[in-house]
Amino acid sequence: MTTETPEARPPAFRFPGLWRVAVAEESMAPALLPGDWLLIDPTCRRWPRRGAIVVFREPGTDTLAIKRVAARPGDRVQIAQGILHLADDEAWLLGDNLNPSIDSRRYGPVPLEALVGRAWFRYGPLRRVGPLPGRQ
Amino acid sequence: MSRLTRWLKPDTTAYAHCDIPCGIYDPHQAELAARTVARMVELIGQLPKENRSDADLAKFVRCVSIKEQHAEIVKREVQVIWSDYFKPEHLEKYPDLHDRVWKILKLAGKNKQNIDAQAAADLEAAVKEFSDIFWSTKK
Repeated sequence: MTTETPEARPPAFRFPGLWRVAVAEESMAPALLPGDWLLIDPTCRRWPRRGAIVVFREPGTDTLAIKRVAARPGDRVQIAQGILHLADDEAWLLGDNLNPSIDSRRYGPVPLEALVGRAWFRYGPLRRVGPLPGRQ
Repeated sequence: MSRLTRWLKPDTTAYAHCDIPCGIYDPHQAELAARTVARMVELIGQLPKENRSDADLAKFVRCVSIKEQHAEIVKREVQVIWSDYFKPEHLEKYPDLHDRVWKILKLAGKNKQNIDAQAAADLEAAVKEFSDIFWSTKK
């Protein structure tokens, strides 16, 4: 499947809160499953609260990734090498499925400029339609 | 796909990236643990039977503890390969596989409970055979 980057979309489609993405892979299971259709709010200009689910450009690969905010700017994160103090624009993003997830434990804190938007609503599949946690 | 579904379907994918399962299995750890169990039984046998000093007692306790830990490692390692690696087609080739694993787990339990050189040797041999089966399926 080819991935179109949000920047490539015509501006007319950039209604706040109406970006649509499909989820692939399983590191957010069972909260998000592969094939889920989500609405993304691309207007958020700062990291949403802990527990919110965000879409961002994965550092290094630049593909669109989806993870949960585990720590926000100014928070301290306990890592193997000691304690990491997140800078003013950095968040620590983790998959729910900690074991096989590729997330901040692999590529470190994620800067705000990589944030694409907050996933706030699931509109498919029908039986699991509903808001996602972490409204700002 | 209906027109509505086609219209609703997102054109962008967000990846909840995960590592693919590693698929790396190796019975070496189980063999090493079985060897350790046998070695601990051997070391316990070398301790004086009477008038044990504190140092002897400490060594005894340490050997017993390590013996039991490694018998547990044998169980875990063999179980993981058995449940995660082996497929039905392997079972067709080695129909006694389930029985072998069951016996290894029983032997490991026996080695935890007892200080028995014969049981330790049996465990080592059984794990070696299990390992041989594993490698033969890799050819």
